[in-house]
Amino acid sequence: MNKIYVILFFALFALPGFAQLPGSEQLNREDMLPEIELGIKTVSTGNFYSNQGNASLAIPVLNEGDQVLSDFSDSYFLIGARQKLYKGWRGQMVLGFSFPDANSGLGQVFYNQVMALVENKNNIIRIGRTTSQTILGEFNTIRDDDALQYTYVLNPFSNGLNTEDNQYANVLEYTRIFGQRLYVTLHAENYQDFEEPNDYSINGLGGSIIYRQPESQLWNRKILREIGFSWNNFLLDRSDLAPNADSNETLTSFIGNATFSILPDPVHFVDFKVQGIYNDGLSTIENITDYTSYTRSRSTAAFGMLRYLNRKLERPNFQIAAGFGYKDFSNTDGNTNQYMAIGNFLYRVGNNFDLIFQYRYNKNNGALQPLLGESQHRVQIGLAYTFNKLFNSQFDGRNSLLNLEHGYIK
Amino acid sequence: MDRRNFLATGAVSTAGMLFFPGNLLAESAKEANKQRLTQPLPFKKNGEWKEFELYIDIKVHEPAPGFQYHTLAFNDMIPGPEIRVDYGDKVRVKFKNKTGINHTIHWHGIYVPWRMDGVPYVSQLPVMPENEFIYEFEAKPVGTHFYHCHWGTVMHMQAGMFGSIIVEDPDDPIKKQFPYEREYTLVYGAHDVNYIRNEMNRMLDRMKERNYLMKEGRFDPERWAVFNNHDQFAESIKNGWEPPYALSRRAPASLPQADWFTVNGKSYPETPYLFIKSGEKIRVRLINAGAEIHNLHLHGHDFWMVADDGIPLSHPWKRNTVPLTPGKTFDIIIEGDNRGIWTFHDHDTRKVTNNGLYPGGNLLALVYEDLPEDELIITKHSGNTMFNKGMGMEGMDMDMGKPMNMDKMLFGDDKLPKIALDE
Repeated sequence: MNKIYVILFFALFALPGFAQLPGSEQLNREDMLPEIELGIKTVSTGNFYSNQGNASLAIPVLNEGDQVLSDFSDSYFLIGARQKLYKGWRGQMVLGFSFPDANSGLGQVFYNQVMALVENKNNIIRIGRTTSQTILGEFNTIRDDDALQYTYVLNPFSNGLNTEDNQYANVLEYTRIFGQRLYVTLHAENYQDFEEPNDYSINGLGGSIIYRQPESQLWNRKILREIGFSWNNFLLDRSDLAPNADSNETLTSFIGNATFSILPDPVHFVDFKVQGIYNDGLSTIENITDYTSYTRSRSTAAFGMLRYLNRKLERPNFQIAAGFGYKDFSNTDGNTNQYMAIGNFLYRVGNNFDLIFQYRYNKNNGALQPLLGESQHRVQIGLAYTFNKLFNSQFDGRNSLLNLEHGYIK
Repeated sequence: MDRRNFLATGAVSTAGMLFFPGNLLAESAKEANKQRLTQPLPFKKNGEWKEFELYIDIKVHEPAPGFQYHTLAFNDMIPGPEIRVDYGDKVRVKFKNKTGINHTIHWHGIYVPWRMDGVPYVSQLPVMPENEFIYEFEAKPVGTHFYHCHWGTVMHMQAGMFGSIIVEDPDDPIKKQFPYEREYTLVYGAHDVNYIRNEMNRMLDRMKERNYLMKEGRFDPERWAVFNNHDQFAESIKNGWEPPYALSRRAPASLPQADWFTVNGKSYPETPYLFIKSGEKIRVRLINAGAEIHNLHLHGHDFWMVADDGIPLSHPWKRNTVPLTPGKTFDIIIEGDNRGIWTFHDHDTRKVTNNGLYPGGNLLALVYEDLPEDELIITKHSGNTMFNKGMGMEGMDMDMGKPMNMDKMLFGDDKLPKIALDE
């Protein structure tokens, strides 16, 4: 089955090469300038770590004792271009890179977005490297991987040294939109496999269904802002772990999430986000000895975050958020579980320029302690600046007020 | 916009339905043309008052086939319907705001009482969502005037909130000097459709948030950016109301660059025709409701300038090009003394474009109704012997040994007018 995916994948990725064929350029004497969007984010913090217990996972910030370091990970640069296509469709490409954690093995930069999509009113097709469907919601942590072990379905092909393996993949994705609010997605991925880094075959399949209140409707609605469910499968080649197992065995996970606007007040805004992940695991794994068995064990994770956002003069002033996560490994001996408490504060000192503070405590129990250490306190203080600019604006967003409430214009 | 789609749909629909050669002078074509002219607003007589009803709503507008955008439209039309009254009439206009954002109506050129002038926070409070306001005034002075929204004027006027108001003089000196039966009102506009879209979204979004607070009685001057006095303004700045940063929440950080130009809300090839007959005089009322200057030029004629800002000129003068500046109205008299089909357009040719594509914009034509069918044959009267039957290349054997049908190749069925959508 995987061979079919390889052929399909290759064909789709090879197609753009035809645009460079000699002669085709003669058809492009006049180009229309597309919409061009720049997105830049810098998150720079000073981190203090205080760790207890030795971790076998070779990540320096897990080493026992205290450390202080400068951290600019998860900063990114994105550039995108969009234009109208024929027959009411739109096309977009996005290129971008981010800065991974130090010693992640990914180098100085990681190309996290190399993606093209086409869309119309009811359909979206995405092809390329982009954000994967291993998370449904988005939490108010300073960096999007701050609670990764609780908020993402972890990539079972990863060696655990970086977070990007879980967050990004080479995807083939189709989304059908119903009523401009219900998103049904089918997706196939090639997740990075640390043992076979040059293997681009499909090793992930899944689908999701999400009700998503358009952002522009925030003040119109009460309570429920988003609710979703997804089903993810990793196509495992298990010959390394279990020679007698079916080589096409899959690792299945389910995600459910919801976001509630508890107080959708323009000045004192409060919301709560919650997500649960059930990883069915492989029945043959009864102990966690390394990162591979950590990701392939049966587990149940839950994470929730409460946020208060103070807005002054119609723009954010400060924000306080607190979250808690718990993950339990039911098939593993020794009461194996982990939990996390996290809180952060953000104060806006200028347009999209924030002072940030975050504290996180993580505790590992049972079989997790030899792998991940016993516990960790982490304090981060720093600055974050995001910048987003659209040049040559040509058409409206899918979820703009005009499109949602006053008729959709292609 | 997608120029290719615009070209394709525009060419098909216009050639197929609206401008079919030979039918231009038919009654059906004239009926169709009425939809491109200003529409009269009916009134009810209530004692000594003439009562009109205007409402404002958001509408999807199509200035030319194949291109649509969201606009603000009085009574679902752009321009708004034409209010036509006699000098001295008592006029009452009931205005209903059906949108989620604020509006007022300013009566441009009319001697309204101060409180009826439609300037928010100067003469009145804004007419808020789902609210009404009744404007009352006496129709003075005579002439060609217009009304427009005075709230968020940069965007609201561009979006289409304007319409003509004509105060007729029963003893009109212009009509005496230039007797005419037919007249046309042409309302010019200039639109940055991307600015309109972005700013309408921003305004609607802000108002949702503000309405939430208003319902709870928690609204404040800082949020509104409307201050009672200078001290309150200064205090608000101390409290964080920083004008440079306020840009990011109040408006796009750039001024509009118009990319669509309209006459009566339409761009070529949907612009109206001015019909005339040989020997006839027509009056054309020109109104600039946009923010661009339009240097209007009529081919083949000099016309009489008879009124400026509605004020009749004691000594009319002749021109063939006039600069219609923003907020200006001119009345001209065209004398039908040169039979043909003549273009009437902005001689700043950047404004005879649709999103940069020429021809488009405010290009329109003066059409003589008494044109003989024979004169519509373009090759016969082209003046170029090459295309003149019997005198040029017709029937000439070409290299391939086949007779060349130049007329068919170049001119289709060989009649005027053609719809040119590409250079």
